[in-house]
Amino acid sequence: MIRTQGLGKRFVDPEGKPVVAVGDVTFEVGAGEIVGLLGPNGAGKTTTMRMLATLIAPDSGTATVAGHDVVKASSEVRRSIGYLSANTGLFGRLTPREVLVYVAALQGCDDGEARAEALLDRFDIRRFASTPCERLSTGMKQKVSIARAVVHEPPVLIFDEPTAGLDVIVAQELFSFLEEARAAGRCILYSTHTMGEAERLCDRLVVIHGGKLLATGTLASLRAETGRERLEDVFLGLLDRARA
Amino acid sequence: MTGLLVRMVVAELRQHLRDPLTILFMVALPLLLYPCLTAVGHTVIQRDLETAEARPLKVATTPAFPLAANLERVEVNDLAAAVREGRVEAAVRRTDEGVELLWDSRRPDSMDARTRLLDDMTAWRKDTQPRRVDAVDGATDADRLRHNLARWLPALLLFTLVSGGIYTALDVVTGDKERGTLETLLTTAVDRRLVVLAKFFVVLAFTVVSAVLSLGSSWASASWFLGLALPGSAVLMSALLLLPLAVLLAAGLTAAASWAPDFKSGQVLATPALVLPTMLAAAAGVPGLALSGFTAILPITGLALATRDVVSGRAEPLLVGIAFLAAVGWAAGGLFWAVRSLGREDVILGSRGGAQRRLRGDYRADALLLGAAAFATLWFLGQTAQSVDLEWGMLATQAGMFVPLAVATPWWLGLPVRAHLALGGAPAREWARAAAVGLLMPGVGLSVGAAQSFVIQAPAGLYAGVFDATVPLWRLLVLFAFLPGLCEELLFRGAFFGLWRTKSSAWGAVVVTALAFGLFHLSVFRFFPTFALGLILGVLRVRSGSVVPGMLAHTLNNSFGMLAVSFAWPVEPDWRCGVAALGALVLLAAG
Repeated sequence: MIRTQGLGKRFVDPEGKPVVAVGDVTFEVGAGEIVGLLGPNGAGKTTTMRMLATLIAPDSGTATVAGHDVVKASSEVRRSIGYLSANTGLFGRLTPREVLVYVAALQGCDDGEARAEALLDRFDIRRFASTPCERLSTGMKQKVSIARAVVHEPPVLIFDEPTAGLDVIVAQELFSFLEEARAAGRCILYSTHTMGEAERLCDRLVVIHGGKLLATGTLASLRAETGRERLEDVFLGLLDRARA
Repeated sequence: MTGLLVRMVVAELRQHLRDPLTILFMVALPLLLYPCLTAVGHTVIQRDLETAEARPLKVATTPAFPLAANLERVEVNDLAAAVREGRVEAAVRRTDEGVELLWDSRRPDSMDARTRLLDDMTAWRKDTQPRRVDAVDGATDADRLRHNLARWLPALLLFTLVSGGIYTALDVVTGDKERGTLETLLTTAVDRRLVVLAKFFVVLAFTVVSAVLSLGSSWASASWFLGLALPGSAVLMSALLLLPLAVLLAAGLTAAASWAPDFKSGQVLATPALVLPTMLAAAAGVPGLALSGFTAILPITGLALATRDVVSGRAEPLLVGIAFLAAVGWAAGGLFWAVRSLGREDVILGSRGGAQRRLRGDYRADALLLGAAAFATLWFLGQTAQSVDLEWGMLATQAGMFVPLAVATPWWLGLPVRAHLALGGAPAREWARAAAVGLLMPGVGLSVGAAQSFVIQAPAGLYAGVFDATVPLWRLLVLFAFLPGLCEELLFRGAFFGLWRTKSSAWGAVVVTALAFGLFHLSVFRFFPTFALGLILGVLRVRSGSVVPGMLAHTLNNSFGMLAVSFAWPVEPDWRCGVAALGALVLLAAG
């Protein structure tokens, strides 16, 4: 459902020098699969996900999401994805119900109100359904954001560090939702800095560093490749190898 | 204590001075605003003075004293009514005690006619017995009040329109970026153009509400407190004229807000967004600036003048219609610009776009900065130097300012200077083409100058007194033909063209460079001729792949002017200019 081939993007650093944010990254994520995108800060995870979400255009390579090219068929791609990142905010003066109905309409759903009601129950946010989002707690806001991202029931989910700043209870609710989504056959690309999350959730891992693909495979194959047991050690081993 | 205070001030200053947008507007606004205003204002006033002197004005006089050549006597029955209705500009009639001079203080032409009649009567009265002259203003207090209201209302309305829209624009665009809701919107299936349009309509709603409230409030205040009852038709017409203005402002504000990476930068942008349109609208208050075919098509100014005329009850329907249509055109352009702005990656990401654009090989923003720097340099340094000594000033401006700007810009941007400036050679055929076109170019300039008189009439003797015919010809040729040919080509068809060409078609770069070249000549009346010459020189640049043949053509063109000065040739457009222009076009098009 997600396929990248030699994907690349260049930016300029704060001193104005060109840097390769993502360079020649190739990986696939299938239906009914959660793939963890791992890498240190500045590795290119968010840039990769933004390219897949059609927010920015790749400088090189290609990517398809649900069979649609991210450059040539960007509207179809966006209709097929649920995208969540630290930068996707909520309309603070709207209530969760209003946000869900509005985004459902933007995604072309005719039954926005019914979908909103179902999600208010699914994520246990009905109590705050009429409270402006700016007055919600961080965890509650994130629940609304997740509901917002999936209101149109997309086949592909792209979640960029969705547990940042969340307490363990909300994080567990998110994991349960993602496991349900996987069971329902959705394709999920998930980035995180927390190795425990990746270990628990992900079927396969894609590790990038400095915009380059370091390794891809199941946790077992990466363990075998690095000779280390814990994912944290596996990750550090891959980084050490790249730096060497 | 003092040391800590100093450290805190320094830290605060460092924090703010590192914001390029703040610096840009702190420096660029005053440096560019006043030169532009005075350049336009000076040329308009100069033209008005020139044309006002010669323009014949209609007057009616019952004592038949001799009139100057610039007054035309017409026969009317009711003199006071004729003055009031504008059929004559002023009138003189006998009274028991002497004569009465009737005029209308609302009309600049009427004031001119009054002055001329007073002069003529002075000569007449010397030959007759001394008589008393009473000047009677035909405009009542209410007329004058309405006239003054009409002059300043457009600027006031515009101020309230912009202030009604600017913070809405900042909230729905810049605020959305900061809150992350823009990214949320842009990851939905909705077309980006629709996202921009939605934001535009929100800003428009606020500007329109602001406009309606302003108009209603000004009308009510004028009626209730000043006792000035504006006709309902004038109020309705003003409201209609404000609509395209609101659309233009809403589009401009939406696009401007999209440039700001954060709310703080947006507030920096708010100042020029408020000042510039208000100043354009304030043109309606300039005495003598009339709504004409030219002023009607100017953005904001055209509508401001039309609104003024409508409110004062002296509107010409055709010109008001032109102003309305032109404003609709500007509004459509503004909306297109807004849509394009919000489609840009750096705008979406809220990042500083300059470096990212350069990474993609897009140096067009740098071209505009170079143009602005050249303009400011010419205005402040070049003109000052030339006012002290024209010849040394010219040398300092061209060789000491333009050449360093042209060379330093690509060098600073890390571009290969020689290649960027296109200093390489050209085939012999291109040299021949440039030489022939250069000889024909004076005909093009004169033809375009003659054609533009249909839109904007240049004052007679625009160049009179600029060049000293007693200066040896070789010095005129070196300073005013060879130097500009070399240095201005290096600056425009070299550096500016090269920067713009990085992300534009060659022909797009030719047009934009010619526009910059035309504006650079600091005169409304010289704009079209210099724009046309800029187009030709740009074509030579594209055809030859080098800037050097254009230098030859530019030098030859200017040499004609210097020869005309030196030998006192009469320089008037005639059929030969048209033939020369046609010949230049054929030569440029030839393979």
